[in-house]
Formats: sequence, C-alpha cells, structure tokens
Amino acid sequence: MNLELTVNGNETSVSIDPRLTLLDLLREQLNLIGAKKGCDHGQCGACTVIVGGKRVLSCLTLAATVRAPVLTIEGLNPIDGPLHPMAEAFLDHDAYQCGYCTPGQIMSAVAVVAEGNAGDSESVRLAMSGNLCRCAAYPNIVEAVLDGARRMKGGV
Amino acid sequence: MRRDGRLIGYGMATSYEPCFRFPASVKVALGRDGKAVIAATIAEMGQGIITGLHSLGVETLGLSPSDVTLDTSRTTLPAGAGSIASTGVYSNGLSLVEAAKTVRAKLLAFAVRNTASPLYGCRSDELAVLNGIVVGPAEKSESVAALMARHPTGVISKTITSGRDFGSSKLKKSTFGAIFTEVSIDPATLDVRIERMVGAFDCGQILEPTIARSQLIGGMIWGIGHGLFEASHLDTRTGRWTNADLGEALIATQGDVPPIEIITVGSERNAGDALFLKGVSEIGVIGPAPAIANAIFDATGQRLRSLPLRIDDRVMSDNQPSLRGAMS
Repeated sequence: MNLELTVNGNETSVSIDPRLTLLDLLREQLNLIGAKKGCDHGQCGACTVIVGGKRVLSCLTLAATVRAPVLTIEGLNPIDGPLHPMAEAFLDHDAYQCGYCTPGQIMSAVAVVAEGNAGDSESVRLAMSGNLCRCAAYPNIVEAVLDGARRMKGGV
Repeated sequence: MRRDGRLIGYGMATSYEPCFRFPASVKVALGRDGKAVIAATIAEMGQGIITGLHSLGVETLGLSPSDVTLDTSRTTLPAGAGSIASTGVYSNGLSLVEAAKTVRAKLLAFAVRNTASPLYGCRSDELAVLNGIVVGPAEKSESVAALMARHPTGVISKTITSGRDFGSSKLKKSTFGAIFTEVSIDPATLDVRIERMVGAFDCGQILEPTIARSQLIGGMIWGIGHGLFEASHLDTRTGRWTNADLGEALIATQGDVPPIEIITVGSERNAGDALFLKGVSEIGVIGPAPAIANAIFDATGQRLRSLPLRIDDRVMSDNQPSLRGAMS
C-alpha cells in the first residue's frame, strides 16, 4: 500500500507492506537508524519516537496507522544544526554510557516535558520508567531531564 | 521504625574485588605533524576506557588533547587487553604510559642533539613538554610539530607489551567498598522500595571522576537488580528459559532507582606501581544485595538467605511484619 506521511518535517510517500511497523519503516526504508530495535515488543523503550506530539513505541505501531507528523532523534538534532537542549543536557550530565538507549531516552524526555511530568525528580522517575538503560545511568538521566526541561523553557 | 505507614530499615555491607591485570600491547607513534596516535585493540563498551587512556596519553606525552588520537578498532593493531573484570584501563594504561614515556624521551633526546633546534645543547632532563611545546631553560622552547618536521624519519614510535605475568606480585591489590541503604516496606504487601543508597569506594587514583561516578552508580543499580529482581528461570522439562525477554527478565528500571551518592577515597600508593589505578566498574555491583537484605532484616526481622529477595520468599518467611505490627 501507499503511505504518505511527514517525517522530521519532510513529506514522504512510501510503498509499504501493511504489516510493516513504524520502526522498520524508519530504519529499513527511510534510513533513519537513530531509533533502536532493542526488544521489538514494547518492553525496552529504545524505539521511542514522537508522533503528533506524543511519544509512541514505534516497534508496536503499524506504519499504516500513522497520520500525524513523526519526529525522530534525527529531526530533533539535525546533522548540520545545533544540538537540541535536551540532548545537550544528556551530554552535560553524562546521562548515558553505551548510548544504545539514548535516542529513545531523549525522545521520551522531550515528550515528558510536554506532558508536564518534568517538574521534580519523582515524576521524572515514574514518567521515564518505560525506557530501560542496562548501563543504569538512571540518576544522571533524571538530572538531565530536569535540566533539559529548564533549558527548553516549555518549548520543544 | 515506621514512616508514612511503611516500615523503615537500614542496612550496610562491605565489598571487595581483587585487581587483576592482563597482558597488553600498546603502540604510541608521534608523527611529523607533532600529533600522536595510540594504537591497540581496545573494546569501548561505553565504560569510558577511550577517554581514560586518551587522558593518560595526553598527560604522559605533554601534547594538547586534540593532538592525541586513539586507533582501536582494527585486528591488525597491537593486541590490547580486553574490557573484562574492571581491568581495561589499568592493563592497557601500564603499557601505554611506558610506551609514551619512551617516545617522549626519544623526542627530547632528538631536541638536544638537533643543531637547528633552539634547545640544542640543553640537557634532556632540563626539558619538559607542555601542551605540545618543548620547554627548556632560559625561555628556550620549540613546538613538537616544528621539531618533528626536521626529524630524519618523521616518526618516533614504541610498542610496549607488558603484563605477561598477569600482575603477579607479593603485594595483593584490591578495591574495597562500603554500601549503605535505607529501604521502606509496606507491612501488608511486603513491597520493598529502596529509598536511598550511599556507596564509598577505594578504587585507587580516579582518572576521570565523572566517568568513575557514572560507572559506580551503574554498578550499584545492577546491585539493586541483583538483590531484588534478576534471575534466570529454567523450565527443566524443556530446557528453555521461561523469562528470556526484557518484559520478564526483570532489571532495575528508572522507577526502582533511588537517589544514589558516591564517595571515592584515594588510598596509599604502593611502591613499584607505575600507575596507581585500580578497577572501578564491578566493585559497585558487589555490595548492594547484602546491604538490602540487611535493611529488610532491620525493618521486618526477616532473614532472607537467597537472591533475589523475591516477594514470595518474603511472604513465606517466618517473621511477618503485618503480624508483628498487629501484636506490638
């Protein structure tokens, strides 16, 4: 089937198998490999992207159902542009080690700010619990999200 | 002790991990442009070994950080030590520093022999290399790049292999730690929450404080998983793991992790140790599980003897806090 969607501000028309997930569309057809396939069934959060302003697990989202604009880590941090304030905060707080979960963590973090859950560390801990980090940079991630929220000043 | 209806318990445990050393070959090559390449097969898994070895190289050679690069990911490079058992920086670092010291000494020897150099005729022990400049007495100086541009072969390199004895020594070297934790337990459901944790560690000289802190925090959180969640369950009829995915092989998530404080203390420098480094990463994992078990005992009187400290063991234990609460 044909699918028209907006990814990182670019309107795209793709021919897809209706069974294709959003994650496979991004990684295999659009070559956006920032979102990671950690578990492929919604348990780890490494594939988190933002669709229509809300964070979704792209491995559990059928591409054919996507109508709203998709934002991935590549759209948040264009190669030629400055780093997003949240990505900067992750760097400054050493909020990752191997970096595998980081794109998902940052996309989640940006959405958590928009959801209004980045006010204090307890809310951040709960709201970020869907993103696993096996290196266990969790306390640094909380600091980064709180700091990133301040730097974003309410915007995205 | 109770707070907000939950039982509060405190526990502590000590930890200890012997320091090992593995054989490592590291090559340091200073080129005509005054830039150095450190070459060895080294596995960076996110633990920060590249940053640590880079700063050792920069410090020993006296070059500016941007003039030192690491070449690590080709099998034709000298065989570095692996990223195992908290030994990577130590094992590779000892070879690296020895090679870098040799390169630096050869550079200074060339400077004092080269008639075109302002440093010609100085004694090499009067010279220092600071931020890419060779500095001598009476304000004489020349940049490493300018010196190397006149070097006959254009390269000074040295490969050092060390650690073939696996660090055997009469002086046994170990990392030590002490973990303190506060837990709260719901007396009815026996749900355990780690409220906070403090870990104090002797890891020798800390090379990169930010990275070491992150490694120790990560280790302690693995320790929380070790204490409360992590187990592989085998179905003995089929030989298959019954929880072989991230939804059922429980690991600590963001919501399970309390505020964690890390304290590192230096320790006495052993004679004959070129680099007073010890392992960092794994020492963090070792103490939390027994500290949590002790805190549960403090809160409830339940002495649990197997890991992880699962809810079914807590429910089946003799000392039921809800019963004790009703009786007291």
